[in-house]
Amino acid sequence: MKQFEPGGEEPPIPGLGGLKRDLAPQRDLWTGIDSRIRARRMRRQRAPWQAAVGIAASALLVLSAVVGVQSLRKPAEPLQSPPGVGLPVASRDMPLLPATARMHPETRALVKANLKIVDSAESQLKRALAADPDGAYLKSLLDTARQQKEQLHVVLADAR
Amino acid sequence: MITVAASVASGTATAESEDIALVRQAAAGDQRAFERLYRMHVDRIYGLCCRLCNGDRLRAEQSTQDAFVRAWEKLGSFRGESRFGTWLHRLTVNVVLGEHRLLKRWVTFDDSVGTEDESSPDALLAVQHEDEGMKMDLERALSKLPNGARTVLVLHDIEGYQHEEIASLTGIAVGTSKAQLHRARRLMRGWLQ
Repeated sequence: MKQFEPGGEEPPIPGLGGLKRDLAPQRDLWTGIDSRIRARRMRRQRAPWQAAVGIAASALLVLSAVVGVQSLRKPAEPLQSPPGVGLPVASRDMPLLPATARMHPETRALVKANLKIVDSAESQLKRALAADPDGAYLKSLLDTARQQKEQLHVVLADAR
Repeated sequence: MITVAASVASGTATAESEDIALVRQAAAGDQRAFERLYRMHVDRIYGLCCRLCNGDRLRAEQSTQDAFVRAWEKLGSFRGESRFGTWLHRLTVNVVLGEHRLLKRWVTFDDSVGTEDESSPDALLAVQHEDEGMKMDLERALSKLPNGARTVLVLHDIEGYQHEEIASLTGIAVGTSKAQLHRARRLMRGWLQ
């Protein structure tokens, strides 16, 4: 039998070029293609939207934290905390916050409301990160949201 | 004769310009335009997938869908330097064989010559041509070839690819492509005599 040698090519098989090349599929494949394209398009469109929601939620969180700080300062005043030392929600000095007995019910409600906002921001940021795993800004926002959540939990724990 | 040739050439040019117009619309987000492109090219692409998937219709359907989804994703990179059909054809070969280096694995590990099996997808494909004499013989002989040799033969002798194109699309060496083609033709000739 003839062995292959570079340059010594076996001649083509007659009739091969005339074989049918087109073949209609037995079912319509467009439906599957269409749904996959739509899903990809939605993912692409949702990614920036999710990021925007995450950023907006974080901005809202900061705003709420500021409002929370203002509210928490009032009950802290009777304890005669040093002048100029506030009690921000996001501060690391949460164990120094007033205990339950001294925490006004409205203040506690505000802390809980803040916690809900942080939870929501965290979940939205997670979704945004799932769509854009390399988003450094989203990661930093998520870290911030987690820190704030932890601090709010400390505030509530101290208030028990 | 000249009139027929001119008419065919004119028809091809019309189809090409329609393709380009549809590609532009589809790239701009018009899904209906992309569906029209699909309808115009699906038989060609499915036929190719059937051959590359060894007559396995389910795999061919999946590959056809994969190829069109990939084409939609890459429409922006189509510059019109070649015909859309040619671009889509190459993309399909790449989707089916290139991504998983399928042909490379076949030519490396799969050296066995197939045995004819009436229940195999290839045999089913061949039965379609039962009344076509030589074509049936060719299809049967094709179905008996090892995967690597058959794929190179299909791409080179049926689909018209050059060895360099096969190599760049599938990751095998040009020399390997030539050797596989030589082997496939030799085996086919032996069976058809």
